[in-house]
Amino acid sequence: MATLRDAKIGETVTVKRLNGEGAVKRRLMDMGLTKGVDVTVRKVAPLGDPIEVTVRGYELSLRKADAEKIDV
Amino acid sequence: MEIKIALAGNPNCGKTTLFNLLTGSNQFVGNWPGVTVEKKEGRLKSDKNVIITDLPGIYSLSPYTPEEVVARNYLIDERPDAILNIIDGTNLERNLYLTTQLAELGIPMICAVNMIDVVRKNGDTINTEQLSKRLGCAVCEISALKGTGIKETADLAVKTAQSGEKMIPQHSFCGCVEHALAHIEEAFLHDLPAEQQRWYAVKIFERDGKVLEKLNIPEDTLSHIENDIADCEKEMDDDAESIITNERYIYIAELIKECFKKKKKGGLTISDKIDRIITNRFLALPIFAVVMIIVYYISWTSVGTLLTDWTNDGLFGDGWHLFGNGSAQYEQAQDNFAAENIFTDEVKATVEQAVDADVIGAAEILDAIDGGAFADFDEAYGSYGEELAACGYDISGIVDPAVETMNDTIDPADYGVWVPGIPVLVETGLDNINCVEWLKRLIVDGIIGGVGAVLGFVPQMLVLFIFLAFLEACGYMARVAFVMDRIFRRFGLSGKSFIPMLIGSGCGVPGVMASRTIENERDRRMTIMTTTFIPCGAKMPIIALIAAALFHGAWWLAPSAYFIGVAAIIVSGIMLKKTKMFAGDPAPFVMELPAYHLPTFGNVMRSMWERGSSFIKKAGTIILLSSIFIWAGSSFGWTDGVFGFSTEMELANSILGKIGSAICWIFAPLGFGEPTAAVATIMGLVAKEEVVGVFGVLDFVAMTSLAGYSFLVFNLLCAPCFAAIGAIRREMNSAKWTWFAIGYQCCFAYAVSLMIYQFGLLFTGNVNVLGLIFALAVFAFIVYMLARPYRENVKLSKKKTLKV
Amino acid sequence: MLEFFQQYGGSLIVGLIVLAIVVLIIVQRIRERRSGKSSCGCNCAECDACRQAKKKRG
Repeated sequence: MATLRDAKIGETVTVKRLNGEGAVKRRLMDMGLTKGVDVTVRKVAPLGDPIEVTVRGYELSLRKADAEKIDV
Repeated sequence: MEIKIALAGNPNCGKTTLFNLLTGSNQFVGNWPGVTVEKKEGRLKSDKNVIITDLPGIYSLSPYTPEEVVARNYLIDERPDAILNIIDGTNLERNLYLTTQLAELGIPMICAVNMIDVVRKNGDTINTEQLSKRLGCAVCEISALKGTGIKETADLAVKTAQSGEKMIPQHSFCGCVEHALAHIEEAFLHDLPAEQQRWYAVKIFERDGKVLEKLNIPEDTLSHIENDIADCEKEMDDDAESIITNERYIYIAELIKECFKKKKKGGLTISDKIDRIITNRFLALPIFAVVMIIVYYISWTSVGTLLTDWTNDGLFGDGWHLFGNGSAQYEQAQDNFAAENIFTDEVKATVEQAVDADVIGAAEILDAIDGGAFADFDEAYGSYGEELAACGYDISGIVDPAVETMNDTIDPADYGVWVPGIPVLVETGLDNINCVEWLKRLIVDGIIGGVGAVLGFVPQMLVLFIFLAFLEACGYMARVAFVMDRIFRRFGLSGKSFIPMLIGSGCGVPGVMASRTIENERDRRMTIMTTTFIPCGAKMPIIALIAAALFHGAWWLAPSAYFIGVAAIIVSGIMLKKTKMFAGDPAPFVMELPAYHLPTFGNVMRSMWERGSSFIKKAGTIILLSSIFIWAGSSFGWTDGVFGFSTEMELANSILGKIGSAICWIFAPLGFGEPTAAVATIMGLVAKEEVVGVFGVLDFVAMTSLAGYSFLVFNLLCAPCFAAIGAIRREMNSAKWTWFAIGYQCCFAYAVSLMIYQFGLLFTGNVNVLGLIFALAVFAFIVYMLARPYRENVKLSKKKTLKV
Repeated sequence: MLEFFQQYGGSLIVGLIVLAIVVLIIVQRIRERRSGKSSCGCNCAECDACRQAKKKRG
């Protein structure tokens, strides 16, 4: 299953599922990353981590490790 | 009857700005009991009967973070008369997420769409009427920054509170969820007031830990409810919390479709364009380095030094020419006189001999003589003359009387308008009223000497503060956190640890407190412990002093101090992460990047002034008291075995001197085993600026550049001032951890200084064998601590499965 | 008596001023300690630093 971590810069993907538990998962959802939402990868920081995405109209920074938990 | 209105909304939505507008200065800021979350309350300016509570910025009412818990506890326990939900118009979708949750509480509510000016500027439109109909409550448009719509909103909020009209949420969830909710309400909640049942039902459905605890539902009811929930989860193929969250967003998506029209945006915003360069993979770090170097070069070496020279040598020194008129001629006259009467062959020969004998500072004096400028000679001689004499190369016999003659014959006032320095003015003034000698010395040598030394650095500080304020306000620093995250994660810290460091570069106290944003307990403790490694504002005078006295004001000294600070944090991070106490997974990092904006001149100035005035205030208070203390300690002592007071007390005989001598051996391996240096370091606990203050009251010690640098590093890394220690104590919430933190910092500082000095000695050719052995041992230990394997698998490689 | 004042009057006044300043400072510090003010000089409401920290809370 592809995850958000695999997405390329400029690509827009749709979230299929969120893995992870409790607070971390809740935090991601609270920020708008839910099933069915479109996410566009905007940039990747120097050295590859974190990544910046656009979701629900605003910019969000995530670690690659967290992006890994999001199936797209 | 008092009316209570609560302000709720996302972080960054402009709540605080609105709160300030509504309450003016009628505010009270404290803490919510039991937690370190800020509580703000105030009275409405236009109606003192109305109390407004500014709740912490939250994204949702989940039970996971202290802010959220505090906010929701307030809302369900205190039941304010109305909620004023502030929505960031430029971020509608995500802000409405909270709105749906607030609506379920059943408390009278109105919404205010903030930043409406930005929305309009972007060309977007929000149909607030339609939004209001769909949400089921009034929706106002405001711009807290511009001040529009405030009064109407405030009035409407009060009216809504008075009407007592309970908020009825207009959104519903899908079939099986509603079914489960209905069951839950029936089974357990029917005793609660009607409007509250919905919120509790939803929370129970989500298996909200805190609510379940609070309600104390009997076992069999719980399992009954659990069945319903489990059924729903199976049907939707998701866990309860996610179901609810998804449903909310589905509803919001509909709202957005109906009420929000985005202007077709083609290209990138300006912020994006800037970010493409600033956070570019390869350019970001070099750009950051360059920015920092520029900031420090300008504030320290060029503009800053100019100003600081004036304050140190002029205002708090002998004096200065008004507008600089006449300074050049005056100096020329001095140089001419010196060439004939001070820089004699005899003097030169003696100094050259001292240089050959490797006396500390002799080279500086020789350079000054060769250079021909009396001012340079004066400085070098002031610092190192005594040392020369002590080693048998006394030139004071010729120099001192010559200087006296020069001062008698060449009067600066002849060359321009001469303003005597403050010490001179005060001394003259005191002489005029026949002040007793000791009091005069207390004031001139003690108070003015100490405070003046510190205040002398104010100009440099102000310039620096302006830069830092600008960088913070425009949004650049958020990008830096983003960029630093990867590096930090390698070393066991999250990018969020960078923010406290950044703030710590101003003052360590808020830096330590900023660690609250880190949820992971262990990361938090580690951040608290290492934040004070970064040179704070108070440590700047120390850097400046060493730079000026021993390194000719080299521009690279300050950046090197920061570099060492960051390196110390990273090295500590790695070492500690590998110990049992701190091992664990790195914390998740999710952060919002606000758009760049040009900060207003007023904002930057205000910020600079805030910091500057606190610096000055500190000087006028703590430093003043400490300077008196130091002066007293150095004036009371034993002359010829008799304890007494003397303004001419030799340092070695005074109380302070005795104490200093008793402990200075500790610092000998680090290169600064002199009583004055030891005392200065200890006084650094009171306030870091006091280190400079001590040297202002007592005289600066002759040190080699290497020793000076070692001294600098030790003072930078060792335990911070009492105020910061207090902050550490508060944030750690444990005496044991606080002592550990302090102990760690001092040991680390000692180790680093030891290495710098001993390895440095190697390079200059003076090898201290014993010292070198110790330094090597320390080095080896640190390398081991860095290289050994982690205790737990740090990388998250497995996908964790859902635990229900 | 008068000549005591003539000789030491100036010093007395200056000394009293210094003493007054010292006492004022100490009293102010104690008051600040009680109200929980931090040494950075600001109270968290307006402190840019604290606000930054709260904003970054993500």
